[in-house]
Amino acid sequence: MVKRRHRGMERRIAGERMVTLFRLAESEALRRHPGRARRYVELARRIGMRYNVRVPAPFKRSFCKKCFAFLLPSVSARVRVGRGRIVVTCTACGAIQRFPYTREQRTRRASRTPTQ
Amino acid sequence: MNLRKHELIGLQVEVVAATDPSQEHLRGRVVDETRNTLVLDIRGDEKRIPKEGSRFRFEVQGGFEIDGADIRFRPEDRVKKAR
Repeated sequence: MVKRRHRGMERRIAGERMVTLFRLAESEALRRHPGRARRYVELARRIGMRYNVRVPAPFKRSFCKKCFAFLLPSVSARVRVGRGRIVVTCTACGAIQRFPYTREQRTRRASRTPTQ
Repeated sequence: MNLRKHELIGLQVEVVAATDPSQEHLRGRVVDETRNTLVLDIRGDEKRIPKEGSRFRFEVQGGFEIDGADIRFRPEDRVKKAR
């Protein structure tokens, strides 16, 4: 009999493995092993792509989208805020990521000056 | 729990049997995995152990011993291929 794949279980395990890999990547980055950290991020992303699982939200911004280096602000990343966006520069490869926060600005503006 | 499908990186492991006698009884932490090998960190020393022909005992609750040949898949394929 052909054993059928259980997609739900596969995706659950994939998610768990991604979280453990990202945690390991973080601890290796803190121990100044950027090479290992990058390898773990890469593996976690590969698992996610294979089983259609998203990168867990807490780790979404924690690595460089270009070279997969684990980003630690001031150690392996430069973080600057202004002009409606957060700019993160990877100090390993120089790639720049921008995270706009215009939506947050708009809601704040709306709550500050209530319509008369 | 079936460790075959789970993450092996980060676990403590002992090589119970190996075709290379110098690799037998090595103990360390798994730091990397490829299709054919596990890389162990043994007190700061990295050793690449082939899966084929080796037997590993992972130090998890209850212990888990397995033939390397049974996990001879790419780490990302193990979830769907190993059983």
